[in-house]
Amino acid sequence: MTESSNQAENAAISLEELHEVEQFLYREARMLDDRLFMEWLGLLADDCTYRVPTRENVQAVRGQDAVTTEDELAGIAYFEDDKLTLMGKAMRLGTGTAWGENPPSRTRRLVSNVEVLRGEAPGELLVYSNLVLHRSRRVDETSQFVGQRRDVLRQTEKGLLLARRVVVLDMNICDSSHMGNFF
Amino acid sequence: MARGVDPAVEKDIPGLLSEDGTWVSRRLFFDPDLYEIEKHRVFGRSWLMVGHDTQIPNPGDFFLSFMGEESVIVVRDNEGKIRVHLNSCPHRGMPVCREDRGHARTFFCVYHGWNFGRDGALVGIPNQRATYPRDFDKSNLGLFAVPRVETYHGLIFANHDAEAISLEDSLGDMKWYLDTSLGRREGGIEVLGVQKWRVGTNWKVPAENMVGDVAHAPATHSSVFQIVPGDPSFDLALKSVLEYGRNVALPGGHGGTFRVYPKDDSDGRLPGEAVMRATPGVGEYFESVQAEAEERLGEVRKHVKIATCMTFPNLCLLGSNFTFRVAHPRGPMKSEIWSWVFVDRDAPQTVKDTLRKFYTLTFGPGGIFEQDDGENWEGVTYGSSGVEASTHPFHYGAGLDAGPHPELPGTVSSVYSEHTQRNMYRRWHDLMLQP
Ligand code: FES
Ligand SMILES: [Fe+2]
Repeated sequence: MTESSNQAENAAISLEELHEVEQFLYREARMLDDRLFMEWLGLLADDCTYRVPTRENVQAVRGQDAVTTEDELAGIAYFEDDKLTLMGKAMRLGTGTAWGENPPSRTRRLVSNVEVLRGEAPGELLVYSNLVLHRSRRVDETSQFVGQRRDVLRQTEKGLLLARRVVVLDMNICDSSHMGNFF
Repeated sequence: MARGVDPAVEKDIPGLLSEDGTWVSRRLFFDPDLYEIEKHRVFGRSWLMVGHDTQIPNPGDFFLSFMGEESVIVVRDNEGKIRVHLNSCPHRGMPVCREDRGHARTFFCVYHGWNFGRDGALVGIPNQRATYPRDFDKSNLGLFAVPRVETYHGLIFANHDAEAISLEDSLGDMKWYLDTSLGRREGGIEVLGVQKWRVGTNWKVPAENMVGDVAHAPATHSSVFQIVPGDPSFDLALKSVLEYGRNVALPGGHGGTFRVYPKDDSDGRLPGEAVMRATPGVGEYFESVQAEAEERLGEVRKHVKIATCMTFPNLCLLGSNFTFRVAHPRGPMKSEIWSWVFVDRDAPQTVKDTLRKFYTLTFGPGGIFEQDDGENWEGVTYGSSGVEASTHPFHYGAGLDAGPHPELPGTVSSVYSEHTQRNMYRRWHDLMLQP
């Protein structure tokens, strides 16, 4: 995901656009926290892709450049979804027999550091934000997933839709048996 | 090599299992004293799978792995030989490698700067001349080598026991079955990457699940069989296991559930395959490799596919989800699962991409099967450990029909059988009884 190379053509992001993006992210967080998964799917473009890569420990070679985040993301992913598989996952959570989420976990998503840029295609916005997903499961198990979202939001007649999401988590191994939540 | 085992615990070991393995003490799944003994008697003398040789194609390529709780460096040396070194500096124990994988000329210890070759030899000490005698012998201060390293279909196994029988002898008839997944094609398999996550369970629980616990699937994975939008393929996963599946116990504690497709089933369809076949070219690929499989594996094994299997003590392989994995012990009630995702090395890129996505959808911590396995594996661990509950042993008596089979090696039964688990625990018990 690269920023548009031709910044000169980019009209500045207006305050209205920024506001709309922020409201989109907050609404989405609320829907997920309230387990309104089917409604959440309505915020996704039909060609939406969704990826949560693993993140490796990489050591810089002395005398060479520092390690970049991209260097750490060269492995496979925890999630590699499209809208169809996200729909299947959401439906599964509604079966009553997805035991890892039944009883359901309690989640709270905090979204911040929202930065909006013009995307590569017309009508698309590249949106960076930070995510803290706090989760409480069963009686006293808590987990925190902290990371950066790199989203592409598409401006459509129906409002903004999520066209692409990459979530870069700040962890090397997953310290939980279960990543059944949407990030 | 008795290592100061508490005599009271030693005295308890014979009684942990009933003779035929039908009754198994719950202490196996949470007891810290037994866990300490296992480190030596099970993990200290078994062949442990640490990774695959396609992860390190060139001299100097390395990755970190674990043998039990202990970090090891797996590296290809200048002669192309795979070495496994303990990741502990001979000087003061600092890990000399602190990244997951990469390429190294040498391993440099960041504490005092000792430097080690790919073969583990100590090649440099800063200020050596000023610090040590002129004729100082560095030759016994190299990285500690794990004495035995052998491979099968590129799977790298290491063993701390220099006297251990060879890997191939230890695998025995398990090879016959592993070949059906790893040796289906001339080019073998290729590892695409590794997922790692922790589960609050004893390492034996994932192992006993994969050694033949088909009975859990309808209850545990019910949600998956319910969704499948307009696609019977996951349903087929269950049906094909129930119909074609056989549970097989093998010497050495190994075993698994294998699908033995009827001979007129030309392509040996995998469960979930319809999902993958939605990508053009994938179905054709599965069909096109069957002729090669027959040539390499023969008429019988062409139709055999691994559902799940377990190579003792903790290497599991899921044939139709393209993962082999190890539950590394992390204390009596915790495991760290490493799941390597693999595909046929000579498959076209679109097939590799599709299979990788299918793995990721189904297994790993975000997978629609794995999440509910994890829930149960954690549950049986904390659910077993109560003061009163823990006094009642588990019953592994299901399945009375196990016996020889005209075509399949091992002791064979229908899938609702716990004889593969009895076999696994008897192997565990044999090792635990040997000081
Ligand atoms: S601990 Fe490695 S050089 Fe001292
Ligand atoms: Fe399972």
